[in-house]
Amino acid sequence: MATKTKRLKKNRGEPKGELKTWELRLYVAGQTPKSMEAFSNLKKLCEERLQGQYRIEVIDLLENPALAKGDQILAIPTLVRKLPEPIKKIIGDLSNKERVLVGLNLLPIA
Amino acid sequence: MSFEETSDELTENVGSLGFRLDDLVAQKKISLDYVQIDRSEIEETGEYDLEGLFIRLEHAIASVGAKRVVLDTIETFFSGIPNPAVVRAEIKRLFQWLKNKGMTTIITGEQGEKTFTRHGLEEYVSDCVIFLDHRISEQVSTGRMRVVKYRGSGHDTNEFPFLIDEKGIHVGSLNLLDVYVGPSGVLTGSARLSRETQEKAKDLVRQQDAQIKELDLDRKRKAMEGRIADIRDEFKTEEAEVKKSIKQEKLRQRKVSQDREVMAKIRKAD
Repeated sequence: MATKTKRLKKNRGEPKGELKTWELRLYVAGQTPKSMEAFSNLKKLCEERLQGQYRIEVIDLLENPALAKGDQILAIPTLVRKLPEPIKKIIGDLSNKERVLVGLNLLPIA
Repeated sequence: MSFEETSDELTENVGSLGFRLDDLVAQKKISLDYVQIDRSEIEETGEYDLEGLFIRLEHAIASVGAKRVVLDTIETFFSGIPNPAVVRAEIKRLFQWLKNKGMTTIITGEQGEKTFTRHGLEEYVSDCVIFLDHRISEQVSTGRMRVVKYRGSGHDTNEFPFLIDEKGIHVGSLNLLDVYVGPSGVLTGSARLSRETQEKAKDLVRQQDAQIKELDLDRKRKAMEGRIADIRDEFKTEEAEVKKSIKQEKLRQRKVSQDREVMAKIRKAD
């Protein structure tokens, strides 16, 4: 596949098995301001809450339109939580942090 | 692009109408894309648009070199999008985008409460609007269609019954007869029989009407012929009289000239 993906692997020697890995997929269409915004928001959030336990894959549908079908993507940008299951979809530029946390099922910091 | 039936369901359902979608897909004559939207699994956070839909359409169009696009139904799709402002903006953009690509597009939608369509916008951005309706009268259910709008063309504004079967779409006239004697019977059972009886009775009346008219015409013809005979007789009498008088006049003139000759001879003899 000629998918242009950015893989951000952050494994800093966490004990395996104990912590679940978050597999996130961000669908964008070209480098639009909204997409860039979504990516930076997502990265920030993941660093804050999921350090070392996440993987972000960015899929540009302009380069690989066939991939939109698989995850039933319509809105851009869309963030798909592949893991942990169940699959969750969050649409928009992820600027509303609280909603993102709700969408990802992440409890607010105690 | 289907928002309600999956590609498999579609293939099965239109099979009864004689379309083999799986073959057509294999021959790259059609591309099916089932778009599923589950609002409950979507969380909205910040700004977005529906570029993903456009990308999927573009991809589907390009994969078969499509000239025609069907979206069924637009309601299912847009009801899955939480933000009404995005929906309105994207409907407009979608219609314009399809038009710019030169696509002939059929978009099905539901009726709105006060407008033809749910968002009251679709009918304005479309070039043609056909209103479909299903009504039951005398236990007979009939699909009806009406052209509401057809840009750049004159059109009939009446409602017509229609029927879809394996031969295609039949659009009848306002006369119900056309529908039920048409392709393999729309009306069935007693409803059909009663309708047929009614039609037969009407036929009989029409026949009798025709006979009466013919008799009337016969009578008039005879009356006319009688009058012609009278006029002819009258003319004959007149003709005979005129001829007789002409003859008498001629005789009289001849007599006069003979008389003159005789007179002249007598005078010469003097």
